[in-house]
Amino acid sequence: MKSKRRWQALCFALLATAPSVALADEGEQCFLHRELPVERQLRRLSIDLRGTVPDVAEYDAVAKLSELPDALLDEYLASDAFRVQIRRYHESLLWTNPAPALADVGFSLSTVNLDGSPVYYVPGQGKSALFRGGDGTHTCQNKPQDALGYDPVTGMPIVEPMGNDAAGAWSAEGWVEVHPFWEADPAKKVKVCAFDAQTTATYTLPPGDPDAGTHSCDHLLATNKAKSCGCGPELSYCMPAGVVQPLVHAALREQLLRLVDEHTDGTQPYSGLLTTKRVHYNGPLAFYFKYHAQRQTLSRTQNEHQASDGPLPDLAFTDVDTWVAVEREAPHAGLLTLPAFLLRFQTNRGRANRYRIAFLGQYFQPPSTKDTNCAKESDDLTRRCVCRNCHLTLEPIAAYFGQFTEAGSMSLRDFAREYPTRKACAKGIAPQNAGWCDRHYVAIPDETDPDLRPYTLKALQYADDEHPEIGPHFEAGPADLVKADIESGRFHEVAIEHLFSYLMKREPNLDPTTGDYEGDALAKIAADFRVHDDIRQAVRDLVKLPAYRRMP
Amino acid sequence: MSASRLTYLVALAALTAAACTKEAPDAGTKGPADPWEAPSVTANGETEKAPEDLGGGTLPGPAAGVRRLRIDTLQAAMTKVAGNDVYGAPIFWRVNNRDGFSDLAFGKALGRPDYQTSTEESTVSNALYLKFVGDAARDICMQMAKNDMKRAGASRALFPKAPVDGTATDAEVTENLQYVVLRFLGLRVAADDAMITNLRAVYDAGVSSVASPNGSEITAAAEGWRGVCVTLFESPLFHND
Repeated sequence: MKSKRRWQALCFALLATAPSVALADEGEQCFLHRELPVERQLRRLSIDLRGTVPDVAEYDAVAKLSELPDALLDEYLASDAFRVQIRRYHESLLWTNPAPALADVGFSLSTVNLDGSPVYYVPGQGKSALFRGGDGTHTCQNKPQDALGYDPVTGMPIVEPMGNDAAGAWSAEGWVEVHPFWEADPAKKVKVCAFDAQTTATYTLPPGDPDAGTHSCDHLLATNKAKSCGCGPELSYCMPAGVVQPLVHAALREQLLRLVDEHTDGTQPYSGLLTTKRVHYNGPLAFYFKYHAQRQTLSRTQNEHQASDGPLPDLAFTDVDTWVAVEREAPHAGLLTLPAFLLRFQTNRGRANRYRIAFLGQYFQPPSTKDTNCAKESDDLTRRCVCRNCHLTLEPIAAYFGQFTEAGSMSLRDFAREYPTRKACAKGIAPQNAGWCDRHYVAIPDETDPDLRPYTLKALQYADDEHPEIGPHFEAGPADLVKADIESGRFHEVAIEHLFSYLMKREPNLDPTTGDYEGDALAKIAADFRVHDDIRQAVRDLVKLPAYRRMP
Repeated sequence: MSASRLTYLVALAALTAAACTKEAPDAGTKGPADPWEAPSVTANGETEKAPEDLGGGTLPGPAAGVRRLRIDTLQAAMTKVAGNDVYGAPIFWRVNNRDGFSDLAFGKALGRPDYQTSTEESTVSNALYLKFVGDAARDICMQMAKNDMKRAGASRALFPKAPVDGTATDAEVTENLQYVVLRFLGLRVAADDAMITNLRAVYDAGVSSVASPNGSEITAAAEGWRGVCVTLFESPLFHND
């Protein structure tokens, strides 16, 4: 009996002291760690949320306090400096620096110095030979075109014979003065070779030509076909790369960051970053997609504006600081289908891999064991030895991005999925072009009749019975991929883990067998984040964790 | 309640309280058996009291990690601490009339990622980082000192609490040292803190390194403050967030 009473007393005592034990388990009161002085807490918070240190007045304002006031945290979270910090955080996740070559000799503008005066011309040899004959290395002569005149029938510049080169006789036109699209001042003009300055919008190929009919001068395939096609009104069809490219690159980056701003300022849900159809354009971007993107040679990035990209706003190239929001259509999905993402990660596999890293916290690792019972030489990477360990997972995810061209940002939604023959494929665009077919399609030999070679979109090369996920994933687009990860909660959980690492300067301890396991605390913050979907609130929850205030 | 029960309760409560207190446990406190015994004899055979922190006990709670400032933050922090020049323009590290931390100068060399050729910013302090931080500190501190020479009293950034004409008292120098430690490092330290003592030695060495008057733009005392400024900019406490 006496022993029983002792056990009763022990149990009572344990219950009575349970709260303090619980606090000890949470690390709330246990010794050895030291709280940062309030000024250093302020410094840490300011560096993390504002990207700089406080001034003396701000230190003095918290001098007598035991902890930082919530109002201060609110002020930091509402500041423009926090917006910039959140931009940097997302840039480190998404590597936001698209820098593809946007110009090509077929439509770029160079200058030739004629008696001390720069004169613009298009340096492509094919086009120059079409204009002036010879070997295609010649430009215009230093003479105003008005002195030579124009052909009354064709309207093209009249030329003068200049001599012979290795390829034969060549002639040259004069120059004209044009106000170029990149100059805001309408009075400012530049000299341009008269052939290159032609403003014709279309050209017509005669009956009998394989591509008979009327076509646009503002297209890649017009480059070497039409002598009557120049750079269009205000040289809009051509690009001085040194002027246009830096502005477009900067705008592509800003376009993504504006989306980040909208979904991290508390007005739009954070998960909308991956689901929204909204996109922003400024003058250089709208101009590039209206006039230049479709002129890029097939061997470089293909960024031609498509119907699913939404209407382009009517902005002048010089409207650098004017941004207009427009709505895109399916299959667009937030920042994952912005050019800044698609051009930074140019393959569907690369896009899928970055998505897994940035938003699912998942990394591929090579296997540590020998791969057996697999195909050693298969082109199908989901079967090939060693490769298949990752590609079995990667290929179905990559298929979600299949409706966007690789090495480019162009939507393929409205492209035919398949052509029965190579010839039909080449006629998929006018004027017909086999190179265009090879750029986007791949031949799939028929298993029973090798002579039958239908051409299918490259992303659908393995969409067959052995790979049943690829076709549906292709048609669903990235929006479906994102939807599943947001609904499962994984998106918010990983965002919290990334933010934790960013703010705490270390990985969270997610090993439940250790005493300072942090998984429960993070799970609670992630569960709340999933409900409020506000990254500012999530940051607030994280910096209020006791660990954030402690010295390491 | 019987006396024996009360005895149990008091004993258990004492045990729990000893395990979780704000302060480190007193070495003399009788508590639960230590998980291991701290050695009382050192390797050279001398007997000494074991440090309190080696007395064993509950592991500390998790804390934030330590990381060097990112270059963007370092750039902003040094400029913020330096304040403005007499014309109201921010003071920054000048390299050929460019900001030394910009990508056109040493930003990329210091590790700022461009997300093309480099995708992750190293947050360790390597030799290159220390060299450039030293360069930046010396340049910015000279600018601070020169601009402060053209200002008076509280409007100064580097020595608002102590005159630099050779008349500053020890108390004024100490007060200014406390001020710059707060301004640079966010630490409010007492006048007798070891940090103040050490910085005073830096200040004195700077003062004695130049003749007074020396005909230069900054006085001997200002040279002393410039030395303190460089020391604080190079302090690990400045570079950890």
